[in-house]
Parts: sequence; structure tokens; C-alpha cells
Amino acid sequence: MTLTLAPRASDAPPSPTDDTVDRRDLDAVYRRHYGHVLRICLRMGAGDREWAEDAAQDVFLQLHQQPGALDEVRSIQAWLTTVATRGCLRRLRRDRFMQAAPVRWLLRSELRLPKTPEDQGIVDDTLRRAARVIQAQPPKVRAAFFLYYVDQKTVTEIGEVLGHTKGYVSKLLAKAKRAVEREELR
Amino acid sequence: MSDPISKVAERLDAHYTQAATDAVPPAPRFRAPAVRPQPTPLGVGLLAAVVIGALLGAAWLGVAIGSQPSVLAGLDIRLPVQSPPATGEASPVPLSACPAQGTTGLQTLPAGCRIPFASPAMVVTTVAPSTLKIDANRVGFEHGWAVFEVEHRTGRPLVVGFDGGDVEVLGTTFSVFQDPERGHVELVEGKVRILETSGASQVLGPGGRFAWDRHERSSAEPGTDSRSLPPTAERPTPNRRDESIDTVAWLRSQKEYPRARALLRRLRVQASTSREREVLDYELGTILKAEQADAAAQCKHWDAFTARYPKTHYADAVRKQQSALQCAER
Repeated sequence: MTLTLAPRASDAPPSPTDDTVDRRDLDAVYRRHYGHVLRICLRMGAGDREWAEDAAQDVFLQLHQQPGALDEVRSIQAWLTTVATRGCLRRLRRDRFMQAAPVRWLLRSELRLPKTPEDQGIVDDTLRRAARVIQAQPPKVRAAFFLYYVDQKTVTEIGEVLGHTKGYVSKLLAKAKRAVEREELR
Repeated sequence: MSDPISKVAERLDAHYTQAATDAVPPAPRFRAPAVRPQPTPLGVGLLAAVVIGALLGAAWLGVAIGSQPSVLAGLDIRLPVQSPPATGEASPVPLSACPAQGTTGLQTLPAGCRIPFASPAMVVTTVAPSTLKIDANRVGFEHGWAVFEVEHRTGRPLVVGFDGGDVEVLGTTFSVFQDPERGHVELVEGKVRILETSGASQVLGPGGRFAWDRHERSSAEPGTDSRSLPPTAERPTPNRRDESIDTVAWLRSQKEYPRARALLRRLRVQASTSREREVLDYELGTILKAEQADAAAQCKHWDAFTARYPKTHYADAVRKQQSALQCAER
């Protein structure tokens, strides 16, 4: 199966709004970009608000611990997208490890089942099937899927966010596309 | 971009991020960095290695591991507390107490029970209400969530059948979860062999997990014939269906609406007559109302209901609902 990706514009220039905030003013950055970061984390956490808020908080905590981190970046939003996506992927990896039966047994921790689309109150059948298909994909595939189809990022940009080559990102997108097409979602 | 995949992605993103738009504007100030120490995988791995090493050492020194309490004591699965149905929520199903001893045959076990069985020799701990069909050498797992501790058997293995296949065990501890759409088997200790309905088999070790998703598999195997369809695709016997309807009522009384809806949808697929489907669809609508679902979703359900069943017995009740929700104005 060949993947045909729609052509995308080259890297977009940084949003002019990025420059209206003082990069050293963490409060201002937080106020302007919290919604964006939370949105990325909600996608990665399949709509789990509590999980996403923790992950988003970690992103700004990281920024707080590196005061000059934004000085050299071209776009604050793009930088936060990368940090949030990678942070969420790390968190998901750790969650998966922590949910392994032997680890739970050793740490006496509880099994946390992922929320099903029904638990999330998705009533629409197409949307529910879509949620099930996307949630079943590996985290990187999910990340690439949303970055490409919702945020309209190019394959190169997604590669920079995930730290992978264009070829690997294309494979991730092809996998997501195949899964969605198999479902014949309309 | 307007291709179908983008549309799906955007709708899904909009659903997930609904909460985010509610959250904006966020707290006016960045919260003081509350450093939450989190165990790192490496740290936990080292801890696990040390504990496992200690356990193995103890076993080597002759400490009677077998005399320890059940491994379930350490698994610490949170069992839902049984409570009577909420006041005002009439449930036709009286909450039954946990049976002291399990018997063979088809039975629905309430959540939070630890039930020993003589034949086959095992202990079943139910994490969620579970329906099982038990014979001497085979347990049919209809739905629910339960942990099985099977005593060591010599000779013929015990087979636990679920929608995704069969689990062959000779003595081990493992959990099985299954809802109408998916299921998984998680092994705590020992070794089990999974025989998938497709004919493939695989061996699970401790910590191993075999997940099954009806939707995913059926789409992955378009040529699947009826012989390999999961048992839930069969027409239910009246008894089984009645029990499932009782389970819906029980879930409803426990305010577990998403699970009740999921089970109702499964029953609807299995329903053989239009009248049955009508009753189940009506019940689905009342559950949407009970869980105070989005008014637009409720209207959509009732609109579809009236279109599907123009001569419905519930016409008056549905009109009343539509009027209360002001569906005509949407």
C-alpha cells in the first residue's frame, strides 16, 4: 500500500503573536500557551483531563527550570509542541511500564485501565469507532496523526517534533491512515 | 483540508480538547513548581530486580514460598464496593451475596467476590460482575472481569474460553477482562497458552498480556468466516439474554452508564426481532437521559428512534422526551 500525503506548505513562519510575549516572563508564556499545551496532552492522553493537566504542568515546570530555554527558539509554540509531545510520549512509556503486572505487584499499585470511548461519553458511532482505532495505535502514531491531520504540520516538521526522519514519520502516518481507512469511517 | 481522515481527526481532536477550551483562560499565574517525585523506570527496574532477587534467594534458602498467601493479596486489584441500588433507581435484580462455593453451570457473579470452586479446582475473584459458564474442564467467560487462580493440574489442562480465543492452563494465576467490544488476558504468574480463534497460538509468560478487540480483528481479517466468529456473535439463548438485561439494570442502578450502554448495544446486535431492538433502543435512550448526556445527542437518538420505529409503542414517551429537550428547535 502506498501512502499519498497531501502536499503541505513549507515550514510556516513563527506566529506573530509569539513575539508579543516576553520570553522571560513565564506567567505570560503560560497564560498564552497553556491551552495549546493542554490540547496536545489531551490528545495524547485520549481525553484524560487529569493526566493531560499533569503532563502540561510538567512542560511548564521544565521551562521554569531552564529560564533561558526560549531565548534562542524561533517559535515558542513550536518549541512547546515539541516539548509537550515528547514529554507525553515519555509519560506514556513510563505509564505502560508502571502498569505491567509484576511492577504493580511489587509496588502494590492499582491497575489503571484506559478510558474507553464509552467511558468518555462519545455517543456518535463514527467518532467512537475513530477513537477506538486511534487509541489502539502506538503513541508515536497517534502523535504523528494529530500533528499531520489536525495541526497541518509537514512531515519534516513532525520529524523534528518526534526526533525521527521523514521516512519514519511517513511510515507512522501510513500506519495511522491504514487503520482509519480499514474502519471505513465517514 | 477536507478529506475524510482529516475530518475524523478534527472531530476527534475537538472532542478530546473540549475540556481544554473550557480550561482557557487558565490560572492567572504559573503554579509554583510542585516537584512531584515520580519513580523513574530505571529506579523501579532496579527496585524490581532487588526484590525479585531477594525472593529467589529466599526460595533457594528453602523458605516456603508456597505457604505465602495468595499472590492476589499482593496484586492489590481494587475491588468495587458493593452497595445497594441508589434510592429511586428501581432495579429488578436483587443484589445477591457472594456464593460461598462455586458450582458448575452458567452463573453471573457479583463484583468483589472470592469464590472457591471444587471442580475445576480454582479460586475466582471477580473485579466486576462476571458471567461464566463452568464445566469440569472448561470455563466459558461470557463477560466481566475476574482473576483466576487455578490449582496445578496433571494431565488435561483447564480451558478458559473468551471471545478472543481460549486460554489453556495447567496451574497459574491470571486475569481475564472482557466487555462487548474487547478483552484481555493478563498473566500474573506461571505460563498459559492462548489459542486464538484464528487458529494461531502463543505462550504468555508472567506479566504477559494478550489483548483482543472485536472491531480491530474483524477489520483486519475481512475473510473471517462464521466458524471463527467470536461466540458473542451467536444468537443468545433466552436465559443468557435475560441475564444480560438483568446486568444492564444492575449497571444502571450502580450508575455505570457507559458500561450499561455498551452492553445494551451488544444485546441490540444480537436481538432477533424488531420488537426486541425497539425495547433495547428505548432503554438506551433512557440511559442517555439518566446520565444527563448532551441534549443534542439525546435528540439525535430519539430522532433516529422515531425514524426507525414509526409505529413504536413508546411514541408518547418519546414525544414527551423530545419536547422536554426542545429537539424541534435544534
